[in-house]
Amino acid sequence: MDLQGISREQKEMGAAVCMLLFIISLFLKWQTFGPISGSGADLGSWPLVLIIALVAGGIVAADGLRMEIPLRRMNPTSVATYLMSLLVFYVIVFIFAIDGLSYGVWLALIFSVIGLVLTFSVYRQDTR
Amino acid sequence: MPRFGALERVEILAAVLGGLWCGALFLPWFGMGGVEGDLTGANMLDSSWLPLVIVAVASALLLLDAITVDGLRSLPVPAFSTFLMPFGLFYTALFVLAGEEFLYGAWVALGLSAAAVVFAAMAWVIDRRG
Repeated sequence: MDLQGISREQKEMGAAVCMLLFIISLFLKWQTFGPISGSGADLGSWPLVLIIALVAGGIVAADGLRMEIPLRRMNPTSVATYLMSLLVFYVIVFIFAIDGLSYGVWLALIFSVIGLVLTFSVYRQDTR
Repeated sequence: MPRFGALERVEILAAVLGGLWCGALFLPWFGMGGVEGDLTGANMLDSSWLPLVIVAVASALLLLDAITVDGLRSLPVPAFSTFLMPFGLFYTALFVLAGEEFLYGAWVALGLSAAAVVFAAMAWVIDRRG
């Protein structure tokens, strides 16, 4: 897929939407074990991940809307890219760790990876 | 005995702290009320090998860069290791935030990973300044 045809703002807004969908996927079914099922929000550490997704999504949305971001010494898209890579790591850790994976965890993986790819593409554009 | 500059010393310190974090994964992190023994960082999840490999790679790269391995000159090691090292801190923080009945291993791992991140970032800053 060629990301060069998409404008910077469209990529950033796309990444922000991915973060929103990632947050929603935290509340979907991640694990099914017979009659018992659990969501991403049943994992004790989910508030930390929620905060990371909100901050990353907020940064790319604000940058896409050309708002002033109070990060003087750092490139906002590099911070957002890093935070999204933590989200991908989080989902992969649980994919390898839990049995009976359900659709929610795959959606979380897809949204976090798409968000990361879009934000990384903006970051590469910035650093060239 | 080779003489190390500021960058190499900081890289070696970050590498040692990262290596110690890998060891701290095998210390008891949480108590189980004395019923089934203690949970270590490594046996908490089947996927604990993932952060272990990431931090071990970051530490090895820093150490090799400090002792000047020629093949690494094309790779920006301090920057790459600064990217990798916080994954150990993130993994530790996930369980410290979620867990109860902490044992010393969790705090040791948290301290080591935080210090490793700080020293890896210091190496990156020194490297950028040239």
